[in-house]
Amino acid sequence: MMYRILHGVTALLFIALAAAAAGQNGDQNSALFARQKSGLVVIEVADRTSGNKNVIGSGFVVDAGAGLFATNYHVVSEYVLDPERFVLRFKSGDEGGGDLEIIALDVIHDLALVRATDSHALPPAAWQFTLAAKQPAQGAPVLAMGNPYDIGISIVPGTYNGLIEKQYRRHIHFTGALNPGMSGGPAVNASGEVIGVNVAGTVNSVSFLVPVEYLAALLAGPRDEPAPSDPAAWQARIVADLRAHQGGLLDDLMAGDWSGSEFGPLMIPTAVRPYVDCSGGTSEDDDEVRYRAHTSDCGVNDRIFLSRQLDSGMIEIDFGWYESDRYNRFQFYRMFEDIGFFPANQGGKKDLTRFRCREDIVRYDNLGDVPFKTTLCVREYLDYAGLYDVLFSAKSLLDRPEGVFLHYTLAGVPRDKAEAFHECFIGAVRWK
Amino acid sequence: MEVIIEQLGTTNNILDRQKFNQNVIRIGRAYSNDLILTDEHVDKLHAFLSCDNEGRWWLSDNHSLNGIKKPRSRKHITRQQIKSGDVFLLGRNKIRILFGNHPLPPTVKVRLSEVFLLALGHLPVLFTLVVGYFALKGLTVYHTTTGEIKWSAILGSNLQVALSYIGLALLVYLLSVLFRRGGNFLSHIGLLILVFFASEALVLAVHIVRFNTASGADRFIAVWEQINGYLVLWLYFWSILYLAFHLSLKRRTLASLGLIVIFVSINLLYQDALKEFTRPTVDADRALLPPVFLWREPVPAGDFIAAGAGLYRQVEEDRQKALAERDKSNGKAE
Repeated sequence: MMYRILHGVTALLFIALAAAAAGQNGDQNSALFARQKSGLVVIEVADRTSGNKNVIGSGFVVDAGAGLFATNYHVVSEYVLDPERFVLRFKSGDEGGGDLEIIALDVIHDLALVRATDSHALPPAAWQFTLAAKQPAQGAPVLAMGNPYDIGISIVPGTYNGLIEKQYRRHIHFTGALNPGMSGGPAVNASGEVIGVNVAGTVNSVSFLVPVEYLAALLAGPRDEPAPSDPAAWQARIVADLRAHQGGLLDDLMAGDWSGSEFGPLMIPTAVRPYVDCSGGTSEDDDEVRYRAHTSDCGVNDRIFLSRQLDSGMIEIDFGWYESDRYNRFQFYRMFEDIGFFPANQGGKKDLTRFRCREDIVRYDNLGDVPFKTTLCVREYLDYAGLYDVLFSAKSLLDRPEGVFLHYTLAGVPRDKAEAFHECFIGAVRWK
Repeated sequence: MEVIIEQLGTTNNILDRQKFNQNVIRIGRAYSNDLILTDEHVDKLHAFLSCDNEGRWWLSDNHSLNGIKKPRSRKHITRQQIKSGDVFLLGRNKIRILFGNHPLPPTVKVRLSEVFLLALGHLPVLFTLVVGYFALKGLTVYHTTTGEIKWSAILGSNLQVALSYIGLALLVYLLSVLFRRGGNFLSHIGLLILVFFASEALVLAVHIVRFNTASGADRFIAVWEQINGYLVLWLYFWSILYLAFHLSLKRRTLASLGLIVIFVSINLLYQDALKEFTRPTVDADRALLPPVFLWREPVPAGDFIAAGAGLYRQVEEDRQKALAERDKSNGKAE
């Protein structure tokens, strides 16, 4: 009895302390926000003819003297790709604002540096954000700022949860609600230094920030960028960045651990690198379904934003093993025929060529005498020459109601790396 | 001297045929006439057909209200000498006048195809076809269902197909009777089942070939597949024009080819209209069969990948084309 009361008292005490701490935090936050608010801007991409706002995001002053703002690439992308149709501008405070031009881009990390074309458009006392030199400790409070749903500059308190381990392209896991419109805004530590740039939110306060070191690199980077409004030149720059990044990713994957694990009758590669995410399993026993499917689906789900209709960067490495004791061979192959595959990324015919495919019955040296019905499909990005989406699938032709399905999908990769990856993929599969 | 008068329908089909052995034939609506025409546009005594002393026949108008004309002519005929085979319009009634010595086309031997088509209507043959139809349907369902087989659902869906077969056969039968032709309802049912067998066999053949070929042959197979569809359709038209409408070999061949041309053009229009909406998708055809049907040697992996280099060339060509097209349409907009 006594014990329980004591327990209750401790709990009450704890709640009171926590409330006091929160109050204190709240005071600190208001003071910080009051100081920094003048350095936050709303960034808009609007249609030149109608004046309608197409995209709304946030940005922040990184160099008040030069009128430089940082934001996300996905906020300004429409202007970058079509400056004749769109206008890029910012709004600051109640009246301030003006047109912007692109200074530097990092499409891989979704960052952009923009500059006010009229240096006097910025209020004279605008706060200039400083970049933090190191990341805070896990659990440290972080404040994200931005313009959620275009309802006005807001501040969102949350928690720093470290860099996400299972990613090739690093993001900060921020526990706090990032909403549309806050993209491009800063996330600051308790002393008001920028530790990351708001980039994406999901439900339940799981949100992502671009680590500040990429912004620092962009700021320190060489200023040999193309003229501010030359979409073709920017696209050429983006292609070069993508080629380097995707090539690097494939190289890193190929240098991973391809030794493989058991999968039905096969040995297959799975999580070749820590950032390769794997799922899969065996279909449930179901009287109505007359076969069993075992799957191993691994991937690098690194979505790189290219435009509102086009993304890229994902990699999938999938295996399937299908077996049935209730099918004859005809039935089995009828079912096996329908096992399909799709591109991992989004894009329409404005952005991509259609897939060209080659299909044949193929024999693989390391897979014995079993012939495989093999399909290889390729499509190219219209505006990013030399980048391809590549799909590969091979289905075994065994003389019994059983089959294995080998599949990979590469989005936005250069040809030489795709071909090297193919050899690596095929070489890693063998019968047990 | 003998004379034969045929009453013709709109498609020149013979509705009635009478032979006369007299020198004067009275034609009209009244019951006192030799040839009675039941048409309100025909006078009570509309015309005379008479033979003169020299054996020539003459058609003369009896001052009728609507007169006598040749088909597709506006000129009224008051009196005209007859040649064997002449066709006249009396009111809206079409008649053909022939003499006993009118030449005939040579006798045609009953063709095997015709015997075959008619035999489809014999009860034992038809019964075998129906049993075969349900057996094949059952077998394909058994082979293509991934989940549990519900025979009630299969029976239900096939009942619909069976009813549509019977409905089509009934409709054609009615049309056939309307044109006073043979009908052959049962043979038509048999023909429909046979057409189903033929199309299934062709589908299987395409699938086997597709399974065995590399994708380089895709275009030929697609064309072959289309031709198959039209071939089956043509076979059906050709047969039914004989069974239900008794068209001669030459006529049914021409008519069925004409119908196919119409179908092909409608389809091409349709495909052209759809072209705008096609999205960039993966269109590998993925035909799969048990390895028993594999008749060729697999290619070594290296050769396959080497041939895959062509894909990069193709998409680069596609890209150039798409960019040129985009420039053109942008130019238009500006």
